[in-house]
Amino acid sequence: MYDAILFLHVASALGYFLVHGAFASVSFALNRETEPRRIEALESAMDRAGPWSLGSLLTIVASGIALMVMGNWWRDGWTWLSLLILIVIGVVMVLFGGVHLGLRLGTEEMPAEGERWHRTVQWGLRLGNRIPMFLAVTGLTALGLILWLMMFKPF
Amino acid sequence: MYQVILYLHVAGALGFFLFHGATASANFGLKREGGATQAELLIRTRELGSAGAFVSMMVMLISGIVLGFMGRWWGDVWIWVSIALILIIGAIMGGSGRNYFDRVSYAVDPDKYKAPKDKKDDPEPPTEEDLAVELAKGRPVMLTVTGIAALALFLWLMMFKPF
Repeated sequence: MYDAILFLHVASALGYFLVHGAFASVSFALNRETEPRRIEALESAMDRAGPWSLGSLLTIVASGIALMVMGNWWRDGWTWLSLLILIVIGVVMVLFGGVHLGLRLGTEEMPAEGERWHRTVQWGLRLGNRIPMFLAVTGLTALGLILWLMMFKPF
Repeated sequence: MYQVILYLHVAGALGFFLFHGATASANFGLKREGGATQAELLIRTRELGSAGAFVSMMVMLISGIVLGFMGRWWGDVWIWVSIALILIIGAIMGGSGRNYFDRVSYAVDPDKYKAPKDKKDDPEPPTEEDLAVELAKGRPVMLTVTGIAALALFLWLMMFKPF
């Protein structure tokens, strides 16, 4: 049973990365676009990715928690550090990536002054066209770290 | 050492899927978006991921071959079934997916992209109608379902080494 859940965990991680590639590529491509019709074309390339992305992410987390319990890994530091990295990277991606995409596509509004996350989002927007690269580097670093923790279980 | 190469192998696979997502999303977008401008943009979006997908595929393949030697897996059937699967899925993706992108790319910009074999001797440049015909030939759902089924099979073979 443990191996079956592990299979689900790895399969959903691969699926998540496949779907996430849509957001990443569109994010990079949007940097050069100003014409609404072309921006719409990019939006159509990723408009079905949202539910699949969320579904596979939830499968990763749910199967990961099941594995933690089944393998008694919850006593180890590496599982909690992995979860922490996942949460931090999730917040970074939503605040900078989600808002960047949303503002460029016109589906999100900048949080008003005094609203939660206003200063953080504003700080992120200072990166301008470098946001996709910043997110790619941050995301790949987090992936490398989480994979290392999962495979080597160092502490 | 085996674990380090395995780490590279898994990281290469994750990277490959991430970059391949650019191709998959462009394929879905092309099917829905008519017009040369949009198609050209989606082709460029796909090209963004192509180099990364190639590099990570090479990392995955080379580390896989090294693991085959280090783990003495070459005597097992599962590794040969995996290789056969790679060749089959590569032929399907190349024959249907890449061929589709090549034909659409040529219909969008015949000066920049190579003509497909059956169009090489055609003196007339492609028209808007030709582009619409090529765009309609896209089969993103079929390719995605085939790819995901192959992924599940690969993963099962790699993780369970059943024979």
